[in-house]
Amino acid sequence: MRGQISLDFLFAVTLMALLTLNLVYIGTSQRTGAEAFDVTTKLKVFSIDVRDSVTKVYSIGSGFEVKKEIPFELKNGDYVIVRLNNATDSVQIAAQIGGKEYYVEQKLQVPLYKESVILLQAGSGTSFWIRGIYNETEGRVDVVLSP
Amino acid sequence: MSSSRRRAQTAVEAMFIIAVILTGVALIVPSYLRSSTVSTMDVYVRDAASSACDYLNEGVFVIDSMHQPLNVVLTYTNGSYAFFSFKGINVVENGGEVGVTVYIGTGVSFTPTQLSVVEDKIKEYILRYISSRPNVRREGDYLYMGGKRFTITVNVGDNL
Repeated sequence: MRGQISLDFLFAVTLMALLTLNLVYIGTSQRTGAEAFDVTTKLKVFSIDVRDSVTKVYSIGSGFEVKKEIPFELKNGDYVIVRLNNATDSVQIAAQIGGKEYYVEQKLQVPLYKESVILLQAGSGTSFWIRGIYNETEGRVDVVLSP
Repeated sequence: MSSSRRRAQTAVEAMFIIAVILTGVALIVPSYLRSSTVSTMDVYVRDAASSACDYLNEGVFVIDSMHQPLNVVLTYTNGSYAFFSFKGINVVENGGEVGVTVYIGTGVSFTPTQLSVVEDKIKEYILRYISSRPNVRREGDYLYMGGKRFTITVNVGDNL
């Protein structure tokens, strides 16, 4: 009789273990997906933010500066490259975060005359400036990125 | 009858009952699994297709082998919002062969050549996405699950 009770108990434990295993499996797979989505969403929002800031700097003109903070903590090996591409008039952001590579591009509503690139790495700080500099020889506003 | 004999008899009865229950389970479960294979794949395809649309609409390249097909599509819509929407699927079952057609709407006007590439790449992504699931096997353009062969077709049309 005692043996039979322990058999029931073992059966119940097995069922509970199966249930827990399934829940853990679903949990981990959902978490992996959510984490990747989290990084891409942050990058998207950041790229739109940079695009709008560049437009603002260009419109206000020389002497206006905006400080931008990237929405990530850069660990060893991680990097973020922000590039103002004057050939396609767009903001391009390439990043490596947690061993995964990402890339996003936003078209600008204003013309860019000068190409400007900035590389942010672990230890180099997580912010940069978007500056409007008046170019006297050409008579226009250059938007540049600087640390 | 001594008490030890009676106890042995009870155990035989219990075994008989358990045998009947297990036979019932063995008969019911496979047929249940067979019918649920198609609906499981239905869920998988819907999940894969809507994840493809979400990825394309977000427009951020994730550079890995899973998203490589969709990155090709993103180069066509670079820098602007892609307007992809998952409209639904159609499942046609014919014996051991199941054809799944995925309908996706878009607001981007592609050239006919681009459109066929877009359809092809979204299909490739769906195949890659689903073959990472347990108990799904991929061979070429076919997916095998529960003894059935699934063919995926992607149809990209106007958003209207």
